[in-house]
Amino acid sequence: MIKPILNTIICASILPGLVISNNVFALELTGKTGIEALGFFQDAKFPEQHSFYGSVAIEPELYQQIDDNSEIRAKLFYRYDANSTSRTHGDIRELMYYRYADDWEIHAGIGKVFWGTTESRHLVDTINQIDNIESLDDEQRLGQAILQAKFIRDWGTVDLFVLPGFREVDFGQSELRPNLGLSTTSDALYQSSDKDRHIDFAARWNHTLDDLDLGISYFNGTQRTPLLNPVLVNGQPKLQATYVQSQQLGVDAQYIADDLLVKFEGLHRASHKVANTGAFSEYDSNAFVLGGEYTLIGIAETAYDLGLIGEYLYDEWEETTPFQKDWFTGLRWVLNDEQSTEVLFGNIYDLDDGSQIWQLEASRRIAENWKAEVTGRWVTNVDTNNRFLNAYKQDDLVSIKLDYYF
Amino acid sequence: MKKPLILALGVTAFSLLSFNAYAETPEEKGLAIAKEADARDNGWGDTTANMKMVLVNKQGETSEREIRTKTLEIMGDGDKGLTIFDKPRDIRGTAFLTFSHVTGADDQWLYLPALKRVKRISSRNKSGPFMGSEFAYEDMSSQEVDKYTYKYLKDEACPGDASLTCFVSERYPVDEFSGYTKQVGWVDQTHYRPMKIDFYDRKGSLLKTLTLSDYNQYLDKYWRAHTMEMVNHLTGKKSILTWSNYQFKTGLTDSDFNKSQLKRLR
Repeated sequence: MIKPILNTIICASILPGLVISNNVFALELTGKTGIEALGFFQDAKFPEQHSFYGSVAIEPELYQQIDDNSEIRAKLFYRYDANSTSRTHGDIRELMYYRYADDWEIHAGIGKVFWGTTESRHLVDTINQIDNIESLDDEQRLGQAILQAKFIRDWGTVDLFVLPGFREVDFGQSELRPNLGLSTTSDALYQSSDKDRHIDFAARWNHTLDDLDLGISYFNGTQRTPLLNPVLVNGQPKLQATYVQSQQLGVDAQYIADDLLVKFEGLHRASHKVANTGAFSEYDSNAFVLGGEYTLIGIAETAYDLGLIGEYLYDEWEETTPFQKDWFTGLRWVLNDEQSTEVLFGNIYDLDDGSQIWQLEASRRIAENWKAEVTGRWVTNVDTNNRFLNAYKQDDLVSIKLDYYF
Repeated sequence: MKKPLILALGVTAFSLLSFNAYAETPEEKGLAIAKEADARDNGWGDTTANMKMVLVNKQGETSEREIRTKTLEIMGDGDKGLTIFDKPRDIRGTAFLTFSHVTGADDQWLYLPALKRVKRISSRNKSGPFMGSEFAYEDMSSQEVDKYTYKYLKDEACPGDASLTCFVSERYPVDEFSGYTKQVGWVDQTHYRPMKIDFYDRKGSLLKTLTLSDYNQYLDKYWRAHTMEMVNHLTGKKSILTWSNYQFKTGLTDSDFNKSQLKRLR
């Protein structure tokens, strides 16, 4: 399917110039495939849910060089879950044409962009929608249609983005676990009449100034995080995902003070709220994450490093996140061994109501091309008014992944 | 005040001779050897090379790593280096960018391809293992004269090639975050190539020994060891580096070592 397209592009790029047969590069295939066991400790909230979900996933990556200055990269993803139709899903993570020059680049296609520095929350990272099915902690994102120009200058790197089209959050069906507890309506509500065809714009400047890495970003378009509006459908209460138009200014920074990394992400949003009547009103809000990571190198005369992470989370917009005033504590244990063993432990403590989220992630290479990963997540002391954490109250989980890299 | 040129040269030669014979301290001689070795390795411009690393544990079990390196010589400061990981496959595409500095901490960035994320990292962790091997990050970084102080010890037949005579000197890391108190190096007197280095840990005991061999000369001037074996005397583990496909003056420039370029790498 893809190869004929690539061959066409290769021919198209070579024909105008000299026809040099040895200039045609081979298609490279790499990637990973693996199995996941996802288990839950408590009884399910809904009869459709299970206590165990078993699945297989594949993530092939394709690389095709076209000439010295251009290439195509693709990354596909598919998971089949024997116990869940919602978790059985796929995505084009990347299908991007790249053209490079010394001090500029053009990217066109579907891809992923990362902005940010902090550990507990990816606040300013805006371009890609969250893959809600795949993500336990916002690390997995959906591919986004992108037209990007990059300019690399002495005074920093500037990226300009045109983002045609929008991806909705997939909240899954009732058998998905965890889920929000109230099923969502099939149709999302959009503020823009262009709906998911609204063309968004973004720009970012980033630069290194001695020990400071600084980024300033701007985004104008459909806000990735939806508002969840309660509505009645045939007399049944449901949530309707509502996507508003937003402008936001973001700052991300990291400063190196010897063994201490000071990290900051801040956001000002000029956005909108929606009333139960469906009427939109302007709403401005601020949010930031400020903290640091201090690394103890070679603890107790071993090769082990221990990172101590502390971050304060602040967000004025209650409808979009549970992190109004929260404190994140993290421990990162890096063994620096042959198997690249790493353990990350995290706790987010809600300073308003005392609710807590805990997470433990451990990974290790167990053979030449095999890697194992274990993630546990649970909540404690959940306040009845904390609606985000209440949704996860009966969903303490453990996930075991085994991946083969090819 | 003018002297005949021939006489001036004679006086200079005599004073150098007497300086060598009577006035040069072991510290001065150690520094002079390091400077000569550095001078002979000046002007290579840029290099690219492939490296295979075999880790051998006490039981003799092995595992492999493969990386590619690009290095740009920076006159007056430490070099710029780029390391791209090919194996193990789970970290394939990960890239590591270093601007090393003669004084002060190096600047380092890590590119994580799965997250499309460029992460600035702290370079204080010099003593930590490189990819789980017996090589520390500081063993892999660019060697600059001013990163150490020196003391010449003696002349001795070179380890590995008794037909050559080696200078044996000690050097002491200036950086307080180095994992070593001292290194003892054997440098051959013909080409000023390091043949062997003993590393002494913070407690002053012998920790590791590096043996360099299979030297090839490039551009009729620059010698590069193609095999480097590091043995850890405490753990009994060793790591063997095999270098191949050395290329010089490939036309790399500063712009190839910009952190924005990390995402382009393949």
